Amino acid sequence: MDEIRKDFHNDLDAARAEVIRLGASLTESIPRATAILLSGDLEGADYLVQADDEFDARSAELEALCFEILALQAPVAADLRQVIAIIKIAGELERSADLVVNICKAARRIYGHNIDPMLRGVISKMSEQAQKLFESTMEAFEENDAAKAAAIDDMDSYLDSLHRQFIQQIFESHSNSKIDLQVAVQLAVVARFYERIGDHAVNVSERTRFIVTGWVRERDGINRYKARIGDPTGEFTLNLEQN
Amino acid sequence: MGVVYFLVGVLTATAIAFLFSKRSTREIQRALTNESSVTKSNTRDSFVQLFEILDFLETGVVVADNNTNHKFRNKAAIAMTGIRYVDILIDQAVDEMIRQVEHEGTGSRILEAVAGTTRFLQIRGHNLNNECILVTVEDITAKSRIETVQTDFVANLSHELKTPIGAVAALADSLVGETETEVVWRLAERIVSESHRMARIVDALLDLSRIEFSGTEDWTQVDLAPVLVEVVSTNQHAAKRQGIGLSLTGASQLNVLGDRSQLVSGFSNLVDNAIKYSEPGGIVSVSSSIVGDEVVVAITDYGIGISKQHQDRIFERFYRVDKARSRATGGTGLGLSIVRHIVLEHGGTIEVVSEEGVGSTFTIRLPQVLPELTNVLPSKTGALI
Repeated sequence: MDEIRKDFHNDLDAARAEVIRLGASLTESIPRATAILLSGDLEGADYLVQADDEFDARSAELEALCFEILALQAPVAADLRQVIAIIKIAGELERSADLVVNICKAARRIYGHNIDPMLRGVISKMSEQAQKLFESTMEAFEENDAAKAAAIDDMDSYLDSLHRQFIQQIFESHSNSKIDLQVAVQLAVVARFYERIGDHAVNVSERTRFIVTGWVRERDGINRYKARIGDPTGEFTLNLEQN
Repeated sequence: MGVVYFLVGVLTATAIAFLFSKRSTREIQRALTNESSVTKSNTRDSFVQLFEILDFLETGVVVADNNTNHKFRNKAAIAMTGIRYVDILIDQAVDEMIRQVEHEGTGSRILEAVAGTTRFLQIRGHNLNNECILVTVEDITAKSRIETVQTDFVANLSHELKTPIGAVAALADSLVGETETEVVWRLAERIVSESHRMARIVDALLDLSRIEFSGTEDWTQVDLAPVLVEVVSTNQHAAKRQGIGLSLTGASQLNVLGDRSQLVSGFSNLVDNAIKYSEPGGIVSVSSSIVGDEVVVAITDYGIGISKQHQDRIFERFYRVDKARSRATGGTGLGLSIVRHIVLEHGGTIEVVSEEGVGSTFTIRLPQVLPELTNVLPSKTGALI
C-alpha cells in the first residue's frame, strides 16, 4: 500500500467495505421479505419497513464519504472510477432496499387473503433468483471480477421470464376464481418489484465492469446517436478507460 | 454442547486475558499480524499454539486489540456459515459488538439471518483487562429450533385437545333443556363427531409412543411389494371419490425387516396425504425400486406443495402448514410424525422434495434384507453366499 496516501486508501477501503456490507444486508432482506409476504407476517413487515431508515442513512453516509474523497483526495484513473461507481452503486442499493420495503407493504395489503399455491411457487422462485443475482453481483464487486459481472445480465433474463410466467399465472388463477381482483393486482405489482430488484443488480454489475475496465453501458447508443446527427466530434470515448 | 462451548469460551477468554496481561501490546500486535520478522521466541510459540487451539473450535472467536485495530479471527469466525452474505452480516455484527464493548465493557445479542431457513447466531463480547476485546459467535439455530418445537408442541397439544372438549361441553350444554327432536338429534351428532376427533388424536398420540417403545422382537421379514399393493387398493376408493388417479409401479421383491402393520399404516398415511392435497383430476403415483442395498419408495403428488420454510417442520407433532385447511380435511396433525417415527424405528430415512404449486415427493429408504435363503450352499472358501 502506498504509505504516502494512507488516509486516502483507508477511506477507499472503508467505502468498498460499506458497499459490501450494504449489499449483504440487501441480499438477506430479499428472502426475508418473501417469507413475510408468503406467511402474512405483519410484525416482520413492520421490522423491515423500519430497518429501511437505517439503510437510507448508511447509503447517504457512504455517498458523503465518497464526496469527501473526491473533494479532498482528487483521485485519478482506476481510483476515480472506483469512487464514481460507488456513488452510483449506493443509489442502486438504496432503491433496491425500497423495493424490498414495497414487498412488505404489499404483504400488509393482502393480509388475510389466500394466495394460490401455483403463484406462491413462482414468487419463491423469483425471490430466489433476485437473491442469487445480488449475491453474484456483490461477489463480482468484491472480487473486481468483470467476467462475473458481465454474466449478471444473462442471469437476469431468467428472472424476467419468471416475471412473464407469473403474470400469465395470475390471469389463470383469476379466471379460475382462485384469487380475487385486488390480490391479483397486488401480486402483479409484487412481481414487478422482484423484476426491478434484478434490474438494479444488473446496474450494480455494470458499475463493477466500469470500475475494472472503464466500460460504459450506454456507449453503443451514444455512438448510434452521434452517427445519426452527424456529430463531427467522432466516437464517444471516456478518458477514464485507461487503468 | 452449548455448555461445553461456553466453558471452552470462558477458558480461552481466561487464557487470553492471562497471556495478554503479561505481554506488551507490541507483542500482541506481532502475534496477531503473524509478522515473519518476529523471532521464534517462546512468547510467539505460545500464541501460535493458542491460536491453533482456537482454530479447532466450532465457536467463532474474534480477539481485537484496543490500541492497534488488529484483529485475530479463528477459522470458525472467518467462515461461520459458508454463505458469503451471511458471513458479511456476522462480521458487521462482530464489529458493532467490539464498539459496544469499548463503551459498555460487555455485550450480548442474537443475530437473525435469513438464508433458506432462518439462522440464529449468539454474539457475546467481553473486555479483557482493557487490553483487548473478545467476541464469540455461536450458531444457536439448532438450539433455538428445539426450544420452538417444544413450546409449539405444548401450545398445539392443548389447543388440539381443548377445541373438541370445548365443543362437546358447549353442545351438551345446549342439549340440556332442548325439546325439539330434530335439534337434539343434530346436537348429538355433533357431539359424536367431536368425541371421535378427540379419540383419533389420543389414539394417534398412543400410536406414537407405542412405536417409540416397541421393540424389534416381533419383527419379521416383510415384502413391501404386497404391502404397497394393499395400501394402494385401500386408498383407491378415496382417490376415485376425489377424481384422482392413483397408480403403483415398481419392483416385485422388496424385502425389509420390520413390523408389517406399522409399515402399512406409515405408507397409508403418506398416500392419504398425497390424495388429500391434490386437486381433482390430479395424479398420485407410488413407485418402488432397489438402489444399492436400500429399498426406495417414492410417493409423488402434483398438488399444492409445501414451501421451504415449512418443509423442515412438517414432521413435528401437531405442526400444520395451513391450519384452516388441514383441520377441515379431518387430520389429527400427527400423521407425518407417526410416519417419520416408523421409518426411523426401521432404520430408514424419509425426505421430502416439494415446490408450492408444483407438488411433493416423499421418499422413504429402508435397509434391504436378502430373501430368506432356502438352499444355502457353502462357497469354496467356506463362507455363506
